[in-house]
Amino acid sequence: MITDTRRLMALHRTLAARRMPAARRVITWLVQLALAAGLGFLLLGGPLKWTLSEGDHAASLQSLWFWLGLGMLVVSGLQVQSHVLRGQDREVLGLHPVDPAAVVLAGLGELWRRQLGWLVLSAAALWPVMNAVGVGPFLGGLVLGAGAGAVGLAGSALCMFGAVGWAEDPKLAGLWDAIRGQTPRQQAAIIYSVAPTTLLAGWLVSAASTGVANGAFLGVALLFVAAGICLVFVPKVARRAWYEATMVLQDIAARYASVEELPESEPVYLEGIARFLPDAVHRWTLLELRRGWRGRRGFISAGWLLVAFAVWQAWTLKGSMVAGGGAVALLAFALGSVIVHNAATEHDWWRTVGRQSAGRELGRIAAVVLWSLPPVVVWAALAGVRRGTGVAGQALTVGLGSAIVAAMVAVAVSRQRAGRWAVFLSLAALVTAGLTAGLSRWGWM
Amino acid sequence: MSELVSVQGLSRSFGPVKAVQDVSFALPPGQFVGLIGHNGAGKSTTLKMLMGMLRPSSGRVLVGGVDVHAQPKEARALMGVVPEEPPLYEELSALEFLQFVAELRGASNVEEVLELTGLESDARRLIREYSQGMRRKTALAAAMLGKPKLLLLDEAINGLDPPSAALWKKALRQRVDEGTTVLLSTHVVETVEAVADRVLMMAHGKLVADLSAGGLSKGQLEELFLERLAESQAEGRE
Repeated sequence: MITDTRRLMALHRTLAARRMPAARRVITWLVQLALAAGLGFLLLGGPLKWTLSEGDHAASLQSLWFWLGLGMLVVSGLQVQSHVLRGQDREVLGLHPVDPAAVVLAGLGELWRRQLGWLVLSAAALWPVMNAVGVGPFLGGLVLGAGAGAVGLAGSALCMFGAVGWAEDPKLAGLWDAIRGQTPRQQAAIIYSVAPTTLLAGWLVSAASTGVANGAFLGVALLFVAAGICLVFVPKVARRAWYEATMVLQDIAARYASVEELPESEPVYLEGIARFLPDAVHRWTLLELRRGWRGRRGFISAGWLLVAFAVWQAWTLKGSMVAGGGAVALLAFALGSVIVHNAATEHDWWRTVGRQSAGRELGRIAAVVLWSLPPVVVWAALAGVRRGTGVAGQALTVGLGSAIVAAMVAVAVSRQRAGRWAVFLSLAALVTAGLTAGLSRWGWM
Repeated sequence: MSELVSVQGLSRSFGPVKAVQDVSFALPPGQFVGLIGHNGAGKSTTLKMLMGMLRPSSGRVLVGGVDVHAQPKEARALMGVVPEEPPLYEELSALEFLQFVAELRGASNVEEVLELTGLESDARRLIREYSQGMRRKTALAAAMLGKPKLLLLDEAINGLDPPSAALWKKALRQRVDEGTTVLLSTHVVETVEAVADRVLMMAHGKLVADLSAGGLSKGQLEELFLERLAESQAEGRE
């Protein structure tokens, strides 16, 4: 198993190297580092340092490390789902007699390697915090992030492959039916199976972050111990469920395909509002809403969590609302990325029919605005209750304005044949940083 | 044991749609079998169930006595498969991909399958630069690594240029002569007529004919196919 795992990890390195040449990888990495550091300075420099120095220092630091750890946990679950369970290795190697444990462990190894890169970026983004809290608690927080990532990967793999078996267990059918909505039962089992990992590991992250904030770093070791325990069981579960996963995923795809015509009569989230748009825009908005919500519902919902920070800040009256505005702008670009993804993966037929149609592009913009609405409205409403209607109006303007700008950038970038993600992410960083700086300078909010 | 593959009462429904209904057949070692049917006849669904990629609603598939769905790894060691849209690592060359798969399968016949599929001259190019036909060749070459006892090919020859198709047929025939069983699904009757020893016909999810291809004259298979299709449609209307 170890030899096969090593061989597969070497394969992943080769594939990654060929997807992007070394020079371009280094440049991209440096640009990301610079952007992270710049954004950290703009978004976190003022408000966070203020919170850490003026507020309850330990509570603020605990909150910061908790959100970092929770973010790593959630991202780990999404990564395991898209790269290990549904990824290319299973599609290609699932046709051959391989050791599933080796494939899954190699996949987790590759994801762990990527997460370490993100932690370096996080360190760059959070560097203003280091000045406020000192090197020890800062490094402790980053190690906590690494531990949360490790337990997130191993725990999610354990639960997700376990869920492949639970998905078809008749004893659990009632449970899945109760929570699945329109989603096929197996799909619901796989998606929601990560909840126990997130809850349990989230509790560990919470405890560890309290420890780090108070100078007790040993609690972080708990995360690595939990990850190790999960890893012990991963090979066994993978051997039982990896091949079966292909059958279950095919079944899910087949169930969606068998009702391919039905979605026309089944509304997706926010579809009711889109019906009030003019006819020329309405049908394109529906198309984007349906493709985006059905294909990337998890991503959109996770994106809304970005605004949790803004909502918390608005409600607790901690600091100005500028950083919250930055979070809302980031959310708008995260949602805009769904449009870029839709455009990149759409069927040729749509591309031909919809090319150069103003209605189509307005439909895309409308979809991003509609997805942005729920968190922006909550944020503005809370700001209104706590800070007055003037601030609420400004928050609403910032939220909807960001959504429109992000959607326009997404539409423009979607027309590019190559390099669309690099351009989109760079523009996202620039617009967010510019907006935050502007709000700060003009004294808005 | 005289049969290599045993398909017993295989059915598969997708919601209200019965894609495959009670299909049963057995395949002995060393036979070239063509599976033909109109679009939507249930060929790909049947092949996917044989490949262990889709679970049947009822029935089972045994390959060499191994239940394909209960013992997937063991079953895959006995078979090589080429799905309708074969997944490949695009950033590897065909040679690298085949060497990698050969290591995992414990096979040593990379050079041989490259020659059989006519990929030698392009073997060092990255797969992402390949045409659709060359991708299929790569997938077939991978399926033939380790000389599995059964080859399952879903629409694998469709879209190949005539010289490549001829080379494929020759390569597959060679394998059959060595004792491998090949099950090739296609809607192109001429392909089956040219190479198969036996023909399975599907229409509207059912197996409507199982016949030896040996005694058929040119064009007869197509006539027979259309005849059975019309009968099946008439049954469906009743």
